[in-house]
Amino acid sequence: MVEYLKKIVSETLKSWESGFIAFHLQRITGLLVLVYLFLHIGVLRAIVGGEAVYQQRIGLITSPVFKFFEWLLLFTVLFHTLNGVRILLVDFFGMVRLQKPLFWIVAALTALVLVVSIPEFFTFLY
Amino acid sequence: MERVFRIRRFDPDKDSKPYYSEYRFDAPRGMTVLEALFYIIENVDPSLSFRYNCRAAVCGSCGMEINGKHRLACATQVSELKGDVVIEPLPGLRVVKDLVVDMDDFFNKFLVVKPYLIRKTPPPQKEILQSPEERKELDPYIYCIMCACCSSSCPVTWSRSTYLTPSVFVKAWRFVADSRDEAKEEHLAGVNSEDGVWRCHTAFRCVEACPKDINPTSAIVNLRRKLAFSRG
Ligand code: FES
Repeated sequence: MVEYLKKIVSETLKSWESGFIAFHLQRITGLLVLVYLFLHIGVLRAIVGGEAVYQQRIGLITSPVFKFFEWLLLFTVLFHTLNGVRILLVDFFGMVRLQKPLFWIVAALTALVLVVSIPEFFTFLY
Repeated sequence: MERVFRIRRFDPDKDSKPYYSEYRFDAPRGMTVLEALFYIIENVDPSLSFRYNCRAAVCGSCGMEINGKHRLACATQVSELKGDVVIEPLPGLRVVKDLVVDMDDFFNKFLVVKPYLIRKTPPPQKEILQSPEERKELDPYIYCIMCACCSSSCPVTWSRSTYLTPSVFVKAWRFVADSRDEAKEEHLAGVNSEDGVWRCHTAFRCVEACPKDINPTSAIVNLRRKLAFSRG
């Protein structure tokens, strides 16, 4: 396992290839979405403790720091979804030779939505 | 122009871990990386080991990692590489010595797809005919020289040693797509397993690595489609 991780890190740093980067990001964002799922349930679970506990917990996650995390979550979900569509197009609809342009379309769309959503998430800034 | 060559060395009998040897010499225009390696063993350090045969990009012996990319040493000009030339053995394969890797496992994997033309009908009087269009179907898969550049660059190969690897799929597709072959199911059966085409994660490293410009992922996707639609 350690050998494998070492190899994957050194090989990635040696050559930046869009397909390989997408492969990594798909795995990392997939794990993050899973972690988020548990956090999400953990927070909402506070409802069992009554209204006061719930309000307090919700208050916690509307703080600026959490807003920032929420914005990162948007990236995570967005990239994972769009790249999932890319993989589907490549794998199921035979667009193998278009994988690079498709990756850049995914990256551009993700970046666009992230930028456009800044005013939504960072209301406390202005 | 003087160039610096840093080569990863490792002799399992002597060394406890790999190290890099550095060589500096003038690399004239037109010198390939393989010729640079010859220069080193002839003039500087005869203890260096590497594999080669044809020197013309047809035998597939000289696959190695050059400046982070998997290439054939005989088909790579030193002048096209920027900065120091770092030469390492292909990753994911056991190092026998220096740049020589153990290819046994890699070659044995091919057997499962029966990498030869299978005929069920008796041979015709003359040759088995194939139209130019049918022959075109096999391009470019037929150009695979089994150098292991694609297979050793695949992250799935690193994590699972039994994975059949992209080159095996290229070979399988080369026969499945061949109009003269009469046992497509037999080639397909070889790749229809847990270690077969279904384990590809489309990281496209094999496509980037292939020195012959083959697209192994498209062979994999074609095989997957064939398998998916051939089930009753
Ligand atoms: S020596 Fe034959 S491919 Fe390079």
